[in-house]
Amino acid sequence: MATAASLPKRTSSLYTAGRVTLQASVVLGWGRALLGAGAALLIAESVDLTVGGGPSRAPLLWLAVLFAARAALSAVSPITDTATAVSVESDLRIRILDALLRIGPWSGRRTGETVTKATEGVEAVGGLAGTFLPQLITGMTIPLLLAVVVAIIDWPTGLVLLLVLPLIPLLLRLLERRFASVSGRYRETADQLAARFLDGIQGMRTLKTLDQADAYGDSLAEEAERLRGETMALLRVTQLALLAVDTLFTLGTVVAAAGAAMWRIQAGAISTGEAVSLVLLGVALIEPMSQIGRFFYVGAIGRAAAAQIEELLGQATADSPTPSRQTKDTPGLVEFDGVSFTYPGGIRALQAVTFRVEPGEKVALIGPSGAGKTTIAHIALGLLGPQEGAVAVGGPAVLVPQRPYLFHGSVADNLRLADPEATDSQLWVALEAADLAETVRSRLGGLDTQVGERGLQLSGGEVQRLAIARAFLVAAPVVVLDEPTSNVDLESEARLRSALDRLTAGRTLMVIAHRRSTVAGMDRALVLDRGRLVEAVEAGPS
Amino acid sequence: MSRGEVARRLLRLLRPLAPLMALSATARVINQGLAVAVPALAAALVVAVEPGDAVGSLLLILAGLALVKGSFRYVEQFTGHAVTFRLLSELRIEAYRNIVPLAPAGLDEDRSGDLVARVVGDIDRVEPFYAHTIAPLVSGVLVPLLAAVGLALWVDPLVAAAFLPFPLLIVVSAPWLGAGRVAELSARGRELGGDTAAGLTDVAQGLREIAAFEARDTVAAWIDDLSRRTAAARRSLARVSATRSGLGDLLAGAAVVAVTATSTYLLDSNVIGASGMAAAVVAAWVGTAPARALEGIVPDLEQALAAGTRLFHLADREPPVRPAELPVTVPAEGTLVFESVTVRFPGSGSAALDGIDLEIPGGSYVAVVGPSGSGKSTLVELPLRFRDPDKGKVQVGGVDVRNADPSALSDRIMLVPQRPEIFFGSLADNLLLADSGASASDLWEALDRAALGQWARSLPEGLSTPIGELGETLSGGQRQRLAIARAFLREPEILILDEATSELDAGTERKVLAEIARERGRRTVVVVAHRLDTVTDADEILVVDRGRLVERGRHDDLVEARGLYAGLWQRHLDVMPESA
Repeated sequence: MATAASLPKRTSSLYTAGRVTLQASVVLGWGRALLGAGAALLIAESVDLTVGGGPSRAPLLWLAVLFAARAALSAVSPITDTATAVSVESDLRIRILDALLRIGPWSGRRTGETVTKATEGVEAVGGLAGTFLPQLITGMTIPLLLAVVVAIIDWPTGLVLLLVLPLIPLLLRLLERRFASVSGRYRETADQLAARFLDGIQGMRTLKTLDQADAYGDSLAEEAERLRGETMALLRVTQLALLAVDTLFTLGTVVAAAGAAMWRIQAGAISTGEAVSLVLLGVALIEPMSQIGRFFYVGAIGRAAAAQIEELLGQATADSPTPSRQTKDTPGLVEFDGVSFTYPGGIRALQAVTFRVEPGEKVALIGPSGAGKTTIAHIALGLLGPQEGAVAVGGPAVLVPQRPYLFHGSVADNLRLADPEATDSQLWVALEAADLAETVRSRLGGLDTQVGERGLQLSGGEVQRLAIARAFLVAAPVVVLDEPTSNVDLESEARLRSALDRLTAGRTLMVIAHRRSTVAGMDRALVLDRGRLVEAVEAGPS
Repeated sequence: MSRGEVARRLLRLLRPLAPLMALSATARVINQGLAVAVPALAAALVVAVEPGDAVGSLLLILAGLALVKGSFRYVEQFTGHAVTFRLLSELRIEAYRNIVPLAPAGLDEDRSGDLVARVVGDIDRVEPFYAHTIAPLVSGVLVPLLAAVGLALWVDPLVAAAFLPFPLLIVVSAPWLGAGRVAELSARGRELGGDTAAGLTDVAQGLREIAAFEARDTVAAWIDDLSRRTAAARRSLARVSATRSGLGDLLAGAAVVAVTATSTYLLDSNVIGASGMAAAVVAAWVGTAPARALEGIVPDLEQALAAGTRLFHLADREPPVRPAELPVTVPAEGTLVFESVTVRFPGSGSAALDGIDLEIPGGSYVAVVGPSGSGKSTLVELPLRFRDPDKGKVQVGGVDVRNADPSALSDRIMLVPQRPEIFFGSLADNLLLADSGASASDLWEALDRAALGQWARSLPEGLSTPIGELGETLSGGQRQRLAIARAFLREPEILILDEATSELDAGTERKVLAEIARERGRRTVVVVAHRLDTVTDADEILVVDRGRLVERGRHDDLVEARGLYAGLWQRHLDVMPESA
């Protein structure tokens, strides 16, 4: 089997989806610069014509036309920029989803923080691609373009500018570096204060209980004052770089152009008008560069986010576990034959585990935490593939997790996760079977009510029963249940139990059991310890 | 609150910083003014030089001006940072002080921790009110005005008249083009953007379900739908800003055409010289830039106003409990009395507590048990006056808590919650919150009694180890034990533990609770029990269900009675300890 690891680590760049519009933005930038240069030349002509004889309307008309054309290009840039950002973002979201599904939290990897940062960073990368990159590319290339125009007017001046040009990316780098270090230190300090502030608000209960709320507020103010003093002392020195860069920008463009123009005009090599246009072109050099400066923060934030996303996507392509299992013809059969599994990082979860669960049989998995119960369940579900040994499962297996996750969406959305084709009446049948129909109808007000993290809150017992309803929608001969231990009230618990009994009737059941009474109700119990099957107990119907 | 009022209140907040802001804005105006003056002067000089003139000194003057311009940039940035920094810390401290009287019950109505996140985010959005709106407005109007004055003085008033209308037109037209729509669209875009990021996080958390149900395509369709809606809002927004930037650019070009035409005419009529024309054209070319910097101002302004509105709403909110008019001190005795106490949460149909009558004698050891959501926590929070009951009254040491001095009340009662907070700072700092006068040996004794001494001794810097920064690395159990150590230091007359040991392993939990039970007789101890076997020896067990006190008595009698307690006890026995 060709492993995913043999694929190149980065199949495509993060910005692939926005490439065309990004190029369009750059071309628009060039177009604006050239039209501006054209305008400068027309002004030169206009000055020369006037100095030489009567004024002429012709250059003025053309000037108006060029500016109108430039305005038209300006009115397209925001559209291409936004198009780049949104295409990059949409594409990245789906790529993150696929990467997450390839890595899987069940692979034992700790990705929580990476995932959060990557998902929150998508917009920052969009900003990088849509706002910063076009500015950066045009800002770096336009000076070259303008130097060529200058060379057309007067080639020695063009040469001088070309010699000064390498200074510009250098200055930009200096500015960016300074920006990075200053804003880094500044952010660090600001973050520290923000963290203390957050700490105080979140811990207000404790602070008030201890009669310390006002004292904490005072110390917060004191700390803010101290940190502010420190940071300002630091900024006083580091911001000097800005002074240097701002001065050098003016020197390198306007003053250099003026110097060259004076030199050439004294030599009689260029006309008055051409001399003016050289100064204008010098001014035109500043604009794209100061634009880059304005968007440095977008670039800095975007780059940090891009690194996190690349890490996540790279992780997925570097080693993705490929679940493999064969589905046998006997529906409901679960067979493990010498199955071993080791998580990345070397934690052995299962060692040569062999057992067979007959169709319709009910088996409890028991043992201390870390014994391998969950790994067996995940392998039976096909979420993980065994590294050694063989697994056969007759037909699809359905999961009822210990803490079912409720997505933000409607009740129907959450149910249709199991079967996107299910009709409303099928959903009601499933809800009925899970003893949740009444709650959905009266308390939630129907299938379209939003639930989940940011929707209507369901109680622990209700979430459990929604997960059972979900399972009813799948025609799976095997049910894998991670038994809930949550402390719901006694009545909910009784309803949950009977819903589970209805779900598992006539199906094969593997349950990660946390209760004595559950084990007693099973046909058999598989006792696990440190990845080994230590005994199989005939629990028998009690 | 009207937008004008919000703007006024925001400006009032900024007032202490006015001198610094004025300095920063002045430096900005000078920097941007020189950005117009230096090229204009350069153009004039270029045209004016005669063959044989020494250009070195002229270039030196230009270089000197470039340096002055750079220096003012430095001043602008430095003072701008100072404003931002001061503003952020003042806004935060103000918000903190506004929240103090509301916490904790007054914040409960806001779902989950939403409010906290909102306050932090809103402050970050109010902060650019100065840097992104006020300062650009000032220089966007002033710099073109100064440029016009310069043109009138050194070139010709007619040239100035030809130039000035265009930057002013930019200021009054481009930024405000479709302003209402921009505000609405950017609010929607932000909201959708937040939803989309949250949606993706949601998916990451529910990954196991998605994989188990092979629902990748369903979920990808959800995400695509969110992406599409976000993109649509942002495209509409881009169309507006495209129009704005086209209009701005057109007016900027028109300024150059108008000035070129006027100065050509004046040059031809010999009113001005060629160098005057050169200066005028260059000044017109660069002089509209500060006005164009205002194009993107509206979204920032709208965000600042919206965030300000929310912050002011919070500041104006009524606190959940009214401070006593004539605060009474609370005697040092541990009796707790509830007299027909009823609590009803807004928006909830049934009462959280329904007619509770209860007297807990000083020095007794009482357990509160019941299913989750039965009202246990609400009950034990009342003596601390997190909220007041809707009916009935609560007395501590014989004093109605509504009349009690809050600081005396917090001396008498200490509540250890299930999820205690750890603060930025050292281990000692975190303990001293409970008793600022405690000695190092007091701290160690409390840590030992809370079964945390061994861990603390293993820390690299002992009591001085910064634990706030450890944040997430501190386990739930360690946090809980730290909170219990605080309680030992505080030595209150009434100690309340609200599932305060839920994350300890059974052995440690037993040890810690035994230490707490030793306080019996010396102080009143109320334990909201997480596991029933930990409180079987309590003087009295109170069984709460749906806001009512349904059973009370000693463990053996309650098991005998075969009521709710007996059922809970049966379930407790059923759970296998090894998988808990």
